Amino acid sequence: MAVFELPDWAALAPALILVATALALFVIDSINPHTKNRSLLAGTTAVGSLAALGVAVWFMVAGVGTPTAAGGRGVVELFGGQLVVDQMALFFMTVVSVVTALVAVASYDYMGDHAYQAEYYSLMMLAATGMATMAAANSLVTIFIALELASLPSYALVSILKDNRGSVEGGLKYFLIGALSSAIFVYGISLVYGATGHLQLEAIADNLQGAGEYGGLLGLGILMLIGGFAFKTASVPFHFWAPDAYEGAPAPVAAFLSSASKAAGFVIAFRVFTTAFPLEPTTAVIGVDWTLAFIILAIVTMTLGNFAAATQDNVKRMLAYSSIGHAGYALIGLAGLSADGGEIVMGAAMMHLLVYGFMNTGAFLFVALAEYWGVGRTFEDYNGLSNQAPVACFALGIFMFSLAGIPPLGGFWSKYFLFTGAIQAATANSAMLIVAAALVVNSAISLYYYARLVKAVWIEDPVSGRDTLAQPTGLYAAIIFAAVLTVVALPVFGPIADAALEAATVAIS
Amino acid sequence: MTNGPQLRLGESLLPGILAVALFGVMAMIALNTGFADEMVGFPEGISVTSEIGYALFDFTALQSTEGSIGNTEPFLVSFLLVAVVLDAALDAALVLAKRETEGKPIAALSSVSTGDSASTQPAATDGGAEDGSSRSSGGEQR
Amino acid sequence: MNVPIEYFVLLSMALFSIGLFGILTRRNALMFLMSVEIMVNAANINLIAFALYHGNLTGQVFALFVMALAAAEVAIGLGIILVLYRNFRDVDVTVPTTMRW
Repeated sequence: MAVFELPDWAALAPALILVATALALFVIDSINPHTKNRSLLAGTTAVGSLAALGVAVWFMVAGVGTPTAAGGRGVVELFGGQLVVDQMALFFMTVVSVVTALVAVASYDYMGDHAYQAEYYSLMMLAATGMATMAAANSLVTIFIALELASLPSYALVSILKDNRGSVEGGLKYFLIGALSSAIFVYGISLVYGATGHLQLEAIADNLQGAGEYGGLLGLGILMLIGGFAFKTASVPFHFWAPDAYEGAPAPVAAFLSSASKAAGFVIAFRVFTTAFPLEPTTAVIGVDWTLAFIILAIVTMTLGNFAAATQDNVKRMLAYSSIGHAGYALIGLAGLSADGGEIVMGAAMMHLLVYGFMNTGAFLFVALAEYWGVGRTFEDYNGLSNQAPVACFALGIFMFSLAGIPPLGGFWSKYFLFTGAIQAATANSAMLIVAAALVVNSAISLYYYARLVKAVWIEDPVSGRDTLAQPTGLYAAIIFAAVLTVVALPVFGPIADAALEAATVAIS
Repeated sequence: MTNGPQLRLGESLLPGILAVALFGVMAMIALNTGFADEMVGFPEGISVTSEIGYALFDFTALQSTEGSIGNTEPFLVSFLLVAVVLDAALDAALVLAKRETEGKPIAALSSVSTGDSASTQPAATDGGAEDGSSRSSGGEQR
Repeated sequence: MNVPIEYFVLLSMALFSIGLFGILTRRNALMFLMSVEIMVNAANINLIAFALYHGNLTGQVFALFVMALAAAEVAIGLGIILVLYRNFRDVDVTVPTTMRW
């Protein structure tokens, strides 16, 4: 089929392209410090992330990471199993790079007058590299280092508006909670190492049988690992940084964190719990079924996120809480795993994270547009924006209804798969019925506040005395592109679903 | 004012009870774990330092196979990743620490006075308490 | 000369709890940073002790990486605290309240 065979390490190409772009930005910055050539910087970033996206999609289609038995080219293990490139890794690399590209294009206008252009884009690319590496990491060592690589630039990105008190406060809170949760995470790693003697995920699974006496230690370690994942995915109990960090951060950065960073957090959770802690042997050692923890976390997270979102007046804060709610939906992917299956829930969670990557990025970019216009932050300030900017507001309508899960938009289908998956998993674990019910109730609640924003924009009378609004090219392009992706996700939902299900099957087996 | 550390009692210590309780729980778990009496340890006559070096750069051929040393995992990719992380940390720390004058960043490591530094805050370890006694100074009070 | 592994684990757990205690009770951002550092080093003690216990070097090498990462984290943390001080004239983490916690 292929004319020439690429070496094994080439399977990492998406991550390598991202890091090369970051280094290229460093070079541009060192040749011409304080350059204000935004087209060059944003262009380099966008081209780099689109190239990574293209390569990731090409690899997925070409069958890299599909087991040879299924007609693919086999799962690529690199560096002695420290990294692994399978369908799940490529799937999440796709999510990360598409969000990065959207955010880079949108930042062109948003960060217009900012003093640190090159640094902003290079930090974003480094964070994207970290997230792409998280997708491929296959050892607690690489997972932890990649997680730090994704987190450290994010702290700086949130507080990059150094004279803005909100931005600094958001960055501080993000950093404090992040540092605490990474300390807890690394302590959890040390306990898992103590119980099994290994950090590579397959080796941990192989040594679980011998870990019989260390049940308590291993259980405590797993609990602490869950804390680290909860921070990265903004779920309970480490969710409370999210509203402040998202509200204070520049809106494109908030879009980046709430979509790409969340997806990357989920991929490590999926990989650790499917590869290192397979359900039956782990339950035999620690005495508790770990899906129980995720069932509780999923219900609490989605309920808390949606109820808090419904009470907000500030649009960005509402979106922040809604992103916590969506983390709860994606947690169903782990809650619904059972000893003899669970591909459907996990595949559905992966689909949801992909669709969520488009629609949530788009929604935050609309907030970025509103901040660019300077119209204000509350629902009332958004009243009647459709008179002046119908195209962007139409896109906003698509994002909101897709987030709420209105058929036939992409968000509906991924939630539908989550729901059917949860119902199916209920045969093995009846608690999943509660999860499925919570999913439906919460989606209904979420419709209230998503519709409220659409109503403000389209139905309410415009605020009097508002100037004509500019039409920044980059932001508009990114929003429209995100809207197109959200809609196009429909006809291609079949292949997406197949890819996600296949990836989940490979990951679980 | 420099003081020795003082134990402050009162309401601010209440959340600390959580930490103490956590220690109790963790210690219970550790004491109930059936650890083996003997540590496996490292075999005599090998250099742990060079073994760490081999593990760091994936020199599996050189790695000793005595005892359980052979189970050590390769770390080359982690080494490369940490290099990128330190790049990122340097970049981020510089962005945050630079000062601007009129919207333009000035060199963070410049030893030349930029002229207008006299008008800004003089450096002071107590935080340059320009509003004097109206504010309690120093970190020990918090 | 042969200290049982339990003592190492108890020591690291104590350090971890001391760090957590500091985070829960202190309001100074620098104290917060030091407390986090204590918690990370508690994990390092565990890693090195378990490396000896299991007889492989994975834990020792990982501890080296954790130290490097902790240093990187502190670099960024100090940067953020510096910016915090320039904006709020204080390093108390409860002072910035333009948004609710």
